[in-house]
Amino acid sequence: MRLLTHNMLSSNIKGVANGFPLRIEIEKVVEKQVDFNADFLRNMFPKIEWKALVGAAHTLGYVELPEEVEPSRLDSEDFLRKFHHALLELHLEEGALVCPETGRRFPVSKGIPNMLLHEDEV
Amino acid sequence: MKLKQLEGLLGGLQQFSNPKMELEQYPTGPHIASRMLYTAENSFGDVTDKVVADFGCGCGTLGVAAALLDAERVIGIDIDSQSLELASLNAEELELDMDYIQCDIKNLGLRAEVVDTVVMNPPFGTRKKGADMDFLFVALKIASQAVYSLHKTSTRDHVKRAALRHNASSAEVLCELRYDVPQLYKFHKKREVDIAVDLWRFVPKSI
Repeated sequence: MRLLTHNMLSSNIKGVANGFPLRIEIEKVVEKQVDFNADFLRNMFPKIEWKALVGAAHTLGYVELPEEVEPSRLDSEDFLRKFHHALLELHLEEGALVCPETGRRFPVSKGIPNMLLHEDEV
Repeated sequence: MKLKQLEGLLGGLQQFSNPKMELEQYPTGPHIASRMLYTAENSFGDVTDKVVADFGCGCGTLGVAAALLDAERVIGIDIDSQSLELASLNAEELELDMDYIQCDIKNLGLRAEVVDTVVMNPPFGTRKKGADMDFLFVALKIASQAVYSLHKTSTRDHVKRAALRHNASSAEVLCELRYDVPQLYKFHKKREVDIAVDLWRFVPKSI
C-alpha cells in the first residue's frame, strides 16, 4: 500500500474514537516509480493529513519531508518531488497497520491491507 | 481512448470462475462498464487525473476502466481476497498500477474527501436486502465529487429518496441499461436473466 492509502485509512473498530493514523509495522518496503504530476499534487496537498504523512514516511525510512509546509512551497518543484515520492512511490509491501487506540493489528500482505473486522468489533 | 477500444480491453479481463453467491458476485460486463466510465469522464470529467475508488471491485473491471481513462490513482476495495487477487492479476496484465484494500464496505474507515469519484456495481440486494444502499451511503460519505452506481430500475424511486436523505445533493439517472445476468448459480432457472438497471450519478453534499 502507498502512503496515500495509509493517509486515508483509519481503524473503524466499534468504540474507537480516533483510529487515525494507523501505526506502521514494517516487514518489507518496496519503491515503484510513478509519473510526476505537479497539478495532481497541488490539488491533493490540502487533502493530506501532513503530520501523518511525515510520520509514516519516517517509519518507512524517508526523512526528506519538512515538518511544516507554507503554501508557497507548492511552487517548489523540489518540494513537490519529495511529496510525490513519499505519497506515491513508497510501498508497505509486507507488515501491519496498528490501531492507535486498541493496538489491533491489521496485516498487510502483497501490498494489500486486510481491514476486515471480527464480529465483536463491529 | 475511444469507447470501443475501452470495451475491447475490458472484454479481455479474467472473470470469476467460482463466483460467491452470498456476495452476489456478478461480473460487470465490458459493455456496461465501458459506458459507465466513459460517460463519467466524457460527460462530467470525473475520471482523468482523479482519485477513483471501485467499491466491491470484484475482479476489477470498473477500476481497470478508470485507470485506462487516466485516473491518477485507482483504489479497488473488496471483502474477498480471491477477488482482490484476480483484480490484481487483471491490472498487471494491462500494466496498470492500482491499489487495493480488503474490507467490508460497511466497516470502511476512509477519511472523507480524498477520493474524488466512487464507481460501483454494488450487490443488488437480492440476497441481503438493502446491501446496495449500504454501499451507496458509504460512497456518499467518502467521495468528494461524484458517485456512479448501478441499481435495479424497479428500485428507482426508493434509491432517489434514500440518496437525497443521505448526503446526496443531487441524484440523476444517466441511462437505463440491460444487465444480462448469466446463469452462474444453480438456483437460476433460466439460462440468462435480463434485468433493467439504472446508471446513476450522485453528487455528495460538500462538507
